[in-house]
Amino acid sequence: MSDPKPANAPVQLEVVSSSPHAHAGTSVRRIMLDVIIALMPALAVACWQFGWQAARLSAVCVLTCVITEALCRHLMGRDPGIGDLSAVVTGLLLAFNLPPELPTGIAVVGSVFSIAIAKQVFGGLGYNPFNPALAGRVMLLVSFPTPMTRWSDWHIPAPNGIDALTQATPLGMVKTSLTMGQPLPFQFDTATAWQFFLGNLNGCIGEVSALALLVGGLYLLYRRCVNWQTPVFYLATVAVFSAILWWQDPLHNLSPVFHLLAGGLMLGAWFMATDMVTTPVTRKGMAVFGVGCGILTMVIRKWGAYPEGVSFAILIMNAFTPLINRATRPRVFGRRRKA
Amino acid sequence: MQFMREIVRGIFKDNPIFRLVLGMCPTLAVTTKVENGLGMGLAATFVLIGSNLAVSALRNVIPSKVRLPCYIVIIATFVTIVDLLMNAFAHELHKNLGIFIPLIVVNCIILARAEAFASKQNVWLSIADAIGIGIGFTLSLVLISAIREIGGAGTLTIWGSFGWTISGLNPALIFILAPGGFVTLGCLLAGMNHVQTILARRAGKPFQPPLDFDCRHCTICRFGS
Amino acid sequence: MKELARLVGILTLCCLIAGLLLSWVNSVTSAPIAEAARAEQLAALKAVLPEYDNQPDIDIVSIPDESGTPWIFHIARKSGAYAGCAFKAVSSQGYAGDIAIMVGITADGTVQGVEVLAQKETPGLGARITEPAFRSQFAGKPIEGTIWKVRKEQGNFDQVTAATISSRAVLEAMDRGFNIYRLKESTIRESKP
Repeated sequence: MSDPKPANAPVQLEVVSSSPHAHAGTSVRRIMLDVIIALMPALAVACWQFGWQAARLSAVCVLTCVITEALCRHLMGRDPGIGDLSAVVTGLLLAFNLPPELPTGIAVVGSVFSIAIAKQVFGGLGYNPFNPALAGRVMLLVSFPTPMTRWSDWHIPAPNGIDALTQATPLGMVKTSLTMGQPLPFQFDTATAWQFFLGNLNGCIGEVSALALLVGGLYLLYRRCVNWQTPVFYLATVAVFSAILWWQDPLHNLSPVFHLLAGGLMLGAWFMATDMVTTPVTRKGMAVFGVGCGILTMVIRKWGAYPEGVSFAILIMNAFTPLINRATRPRVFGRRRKA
Repeated sequence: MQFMREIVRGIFKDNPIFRLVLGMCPTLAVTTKVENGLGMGLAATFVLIGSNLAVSALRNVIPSKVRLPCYIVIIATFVTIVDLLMNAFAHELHKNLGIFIPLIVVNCIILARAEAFASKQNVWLSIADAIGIGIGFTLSLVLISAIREIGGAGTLTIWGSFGWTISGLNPALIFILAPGGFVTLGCLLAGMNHVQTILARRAGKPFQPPLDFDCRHCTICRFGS
Repeated sequence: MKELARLVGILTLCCLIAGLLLSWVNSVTSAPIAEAARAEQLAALKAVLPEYDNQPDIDIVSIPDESGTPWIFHIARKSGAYAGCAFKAVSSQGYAGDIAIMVGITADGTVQGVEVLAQKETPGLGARITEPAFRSQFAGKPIEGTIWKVRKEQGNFDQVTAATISSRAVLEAMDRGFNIYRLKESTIRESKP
């Protein structure tokens, strides 16, 4: 029995619409290269903020992912296939989702899991139902809860003049205070919001700077690697949801601006929820996907046991992708609408 | 001679977990500790021997129209007997396995062997089948739970306080949670199929994977060709 | 009709035999089961109570809480004098089902020991509440002046790593028991065997 297509042929990408189909003149390699370029500003901020730890984690994850990919494909009797750079992207995204002081060994375990279990077991690029980088992160979070939630020291930007030192993420501080029935741990004013926007907050190495991620996201939009529907609907849903909560009870909820800037939302919305393999193919489907991710993220942040819910939200919506695709399948031209 | 053959068949060729892919619910639920896997396997083996014996002995008495309710009554009876005896005479063990014992009633291995084997074969061979399948089930459970316990807790508990702690290991908790069970089972199934493919190729015979677990209908990789 | 009667008859016979068999097994095992349960309770009481020479499993005081649920306090006596008491508390706030614990209190109002009687928490995670590392931190702590909460909630006790829910459930059950004890301490102390 022969393989349906030559193993390492460039995958032809088609515009999802009715025929005639035109080739977009692009390849997996080119798209992955664009994603890597788009991630560079965030990597730069990470290295500036967390120093060599960020560089170490990124290097370890990328290397392990590429080696694992080549090994798996060798075992499966296929070409190495690492030239499409998808393993590099997975490695970078996984590293961006790790706390800066994570031991190298744990990062290696996560990378191997991402590529071997979450991607190659299902058949490799194009067949994996779940985002490999997020699967790796969640596996690490569940397996090694202590090192995965150990953050570096961070000076809360102090609007009232008192410079406080903490080892928690802003979302983590909010969650701890609220579960203990205490008031919100800090004032979120314009100055703090500005600091958050630039990336002066605690978190995983790649998620801190909303500005750098936005620059990367806009580059992806410009290169047409992503459609605007997913990130815009995702961010808008989070904003609306948190605005309603805030308006209802401003003493126990933070403003929509906080929810947009804190945690992994920007990284998730621009780089994970837009993954071509694991998210819907139709524009309507992408909007549904974005709204679903937004609702789940806020539900987990507000009522869940974990302080942050972006990775869980996207993974859960990944599972719904086939259903969304089926529900939003475009009508075949010339066919009548079903009554 | 055939008695021994039936036992060996139950352990390898018809291994309930890796070949027949039966009884997945208890397999995933109890294999967090070797102790639990071993206890579950032995208790299920006892029930299996009892139910196979009874079903085989009564195979000409029970009309086919009401055979399933009869089998369930027989199986449930043996499970309750195990439950009571264990509670009375092995109280410590019962405390550990208490919640898993009633689960044996719905373990499809036992109903499957009653339906597929014991209702058609004589008592002697049915007992052999039960022993073989029971040993196969127990060994598979011990294998899975050993991997999960070492990986997830860094210990290996054979029975009670008899066991080892593996030092210098940073346990990954996912192994003892449900997803770890699925991943471990999946990797073991893939590994078994891989080894069997190689063995079959060496012997010059085509490999027959278990039903629904073969590569012939799948185009994702070229494993099966 | 005749066929139907045969089917019904055989199924009934099958159930009848099963029922008879089970009732026989039950009659044989009920005494040993009760004996084993009593031995288990005595072992738990022995582990958490100070030295005693009475029978604390029958020497009990029952105190209902606000909802009317009775709390059983087992009394330990040494040559007739009150030496301490123990109560069983069940928390429904565990990660996987109820957690039942036995807590022993000495005559001077400090905790003697805590035993976990039943739990279904995740092995390697929440199930580590049964390990001495977690349980031993309670012994010797006075009931008054100690905050019976995990450190995460500004209490005095270390939680089991990555198992806050299970640790919190144990402390929650203990705290409820202590509240009853505080209210009715005199009743417990002045009880007669």
